Amino acid sequence: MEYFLTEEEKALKEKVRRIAEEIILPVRDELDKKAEFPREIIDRMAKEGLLRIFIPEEYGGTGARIMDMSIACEEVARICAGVATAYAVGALGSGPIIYFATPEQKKKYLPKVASGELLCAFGLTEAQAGSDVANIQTTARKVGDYYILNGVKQFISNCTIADVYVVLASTDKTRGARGISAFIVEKGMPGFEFGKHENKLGIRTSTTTELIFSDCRVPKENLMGKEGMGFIYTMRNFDRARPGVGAIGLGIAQGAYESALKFAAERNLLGNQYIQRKLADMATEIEAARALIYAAARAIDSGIKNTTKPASFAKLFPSDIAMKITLEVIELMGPHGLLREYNVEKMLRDAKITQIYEGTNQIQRGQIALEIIKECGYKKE
Amino acid sequence: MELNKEILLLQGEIKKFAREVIAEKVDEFDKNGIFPIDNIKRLAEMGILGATIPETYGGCLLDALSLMVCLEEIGKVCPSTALIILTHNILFAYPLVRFGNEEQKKILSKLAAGEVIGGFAERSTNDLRISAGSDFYKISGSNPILLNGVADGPFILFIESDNSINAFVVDEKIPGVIRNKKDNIIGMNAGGITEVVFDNCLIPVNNRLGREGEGRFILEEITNFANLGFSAINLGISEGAMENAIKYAKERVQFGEPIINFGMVREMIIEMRTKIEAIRLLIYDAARLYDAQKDFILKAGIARYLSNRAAAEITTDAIQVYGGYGYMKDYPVERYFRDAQVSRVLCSSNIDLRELIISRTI
Ligand SMILES: Cc1cc2nc3c(=O)[nH]c(=O)nc-3n(C[C@H](O)[C@H](O)[C@H](O)COP(=O)(O)OP(=O)(O)OC[C@H]3O[C@@H](n4cnc5c(N)ncnc54)[C@H](O)[C@@H]3O)c2cc1C
Repeated sequence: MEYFLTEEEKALKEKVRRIAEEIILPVRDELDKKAEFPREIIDRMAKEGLLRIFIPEEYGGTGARIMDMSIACEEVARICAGVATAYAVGALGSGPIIYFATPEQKKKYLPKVASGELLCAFGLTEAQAGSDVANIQTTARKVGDYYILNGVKQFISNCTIADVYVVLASTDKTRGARGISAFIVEKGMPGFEFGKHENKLGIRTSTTTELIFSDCRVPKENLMGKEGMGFIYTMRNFDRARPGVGAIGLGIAQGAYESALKFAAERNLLGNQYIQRKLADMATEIEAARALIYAAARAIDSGIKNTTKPASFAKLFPSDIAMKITLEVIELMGPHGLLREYNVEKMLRDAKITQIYEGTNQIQRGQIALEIIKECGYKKE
Repeated sequence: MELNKEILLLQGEIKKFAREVIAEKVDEFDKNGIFPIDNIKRLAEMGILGATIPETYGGCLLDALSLMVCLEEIGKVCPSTALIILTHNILFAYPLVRFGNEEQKKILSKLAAGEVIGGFAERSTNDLRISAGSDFYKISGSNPILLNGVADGPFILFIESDNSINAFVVDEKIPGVIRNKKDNIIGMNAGGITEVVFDNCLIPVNNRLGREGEGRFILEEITNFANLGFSAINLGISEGAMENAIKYAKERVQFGEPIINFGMVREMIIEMRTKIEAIRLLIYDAARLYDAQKDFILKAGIARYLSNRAAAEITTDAIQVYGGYGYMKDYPVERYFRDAQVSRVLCSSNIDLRELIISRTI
């Protein structure tokens, strides 16, 4: 469909598609099998300028537009959602620095993030704090010129390959969510180590690991913004980043749909109305998801104040259709779909994560419902 | 729908075995792709490998309802094991009993004892070149899905040429049949699926099941029974996934309370339970029709159609209930999810199923 993308956006879409097909397609199966992420892939993407799109112009980027991120994430995920996750998490990690860090911190990190020299990660989740973000137990105690971090983060993407970790820790337990602060922790800081590597159903090339802080000394300059603002920063960051997750779902759906279409054509199934019905539904859902993501991205980029609802819309629907479509594609292709060589089984395994990370789809629904209730001036209870 | 005493007894026995013995190594076998041969032998001792074989041939023929209950109970714990049992009984032994000649039936007692495990080459993935001679069919090519391939037993292969379909028993006497374990299938890792390669293989006409051209009918008969069997595995998978999801949801605390308290989590469980009850009724109903020698085909087709979807949806939501943990191989729901994909597509295509239901409905 025609979305009236700008010339730059069209060029970006084409470029990312070409790069994904050139450098990711030939290795995606291998990466999935080995469950490893080669840093060279991000380096190659950086060389082509793909990491600049997450960063504002003044820091060597091309504007940090959610629209650009959505376009790029879809195209990478169309080939491999594991790589797309590593890529998008880079943006999720750099987001808080862009919006909430001090000018010195921005100058120190962002140009190098734009060039791809530094890769970011975002460390929020803990064993007892998944959906319940405010329940984090990791602490940061201020001692002289340092904060001393203690605790364990889990399910953190880009671990080991990332250089810069935005980490949430409690500086004041008595204040709950208002006592959470964000820190910029660099790989190699004493007392900062990686723990268990997760063995996952999908996005296997994207690393997911524990972060372990044992009396980790973080210079006080690395406190992001203000103490006690970490929770708010996190939520605002999610409110910008979520269309990126939707775009990953969309890319998976698009890739799976293309595979199904090709399969049906090669087997002379296109005259069959059962198949036509499936393909038509898939194509419709994909366009609806794309339109929703673009609309949300444009709204966020235009600077509207409350981005919670559009961001949640743009995460919820595309991830749900990614799941639905990949399941349908397996049904359409039958036993062939089970085989690695057709790649749709990988897309199915990958699709499931998009309903879970960056806030489960139940959490998205809850947020959307709350916004609706607020808008109408009603009360929850 | 109440089960009679005899079936309840069998169900209890199989359930106990599944939970006490099969469960023990289910994750290890899945992770390493190990065929659970010891468990299969024990099931043979319990008579389960002769479930479709009459006593005169050394089996202990069960009614279909009993077999479905067994597949369900085993499938709840280890879908791979259930697939092995289904393949052996429904896809191999059953057509041999119905269509085999006395020579071909000689193997039945060994099948019932579990000394030989029967296999089946998924028809839709056959990629074969065939030339028919007077005494032999010469075939080259491969098929990526040979069920029970690792067990090295005989298997059924459908050969299609000149608009006719024939079913053959491919046994160890035929040279040029190579099985390769490839680990390239999304699920049923412990199910012993291999690729099979035919290297200028000569299959004697004597190995044909039934008369020339009777393969289409044989295929239909197998498929109809298999629809019932795969429905039972879909059901088992769904129940296993739900059981785990409920247990987890009661334990997992977020926002100061067990997540089972949240309406959106409860709704996922409600959907699971509702679908499970519906498909179980359908399966038992179809199995009873089968046992009463009435037309069970439509009901079995509907059971399969609905349970294929249910298994996919329920296992997807079971992961959702676990949140991020569900995506990890440390928890069982990701295995159920992968196994469900296999169970819901083997043997009948979704187009076949639709045709079957509509042609018997209008
Ligand atoms: C592969 C992967 C990569 C990840 N990467 C990162 C990362 O880079 N950084 C990071 O910080 N985190 C990351 N995560 C963590 C991810 O964001 C969490 O897993 C997710 O937020 C869910 O938390 P949980 O796993 O603890 O599930 P839980 O919160 O325990 O949820 C379990 C179930 O309960 C439901 N539920 C919970 N609360 C409610 C409620 N109030 N109302 C209704 N339903 C509810 C959920 O929807 C879900 O269905 C990653 C996770 C995975 C699996």
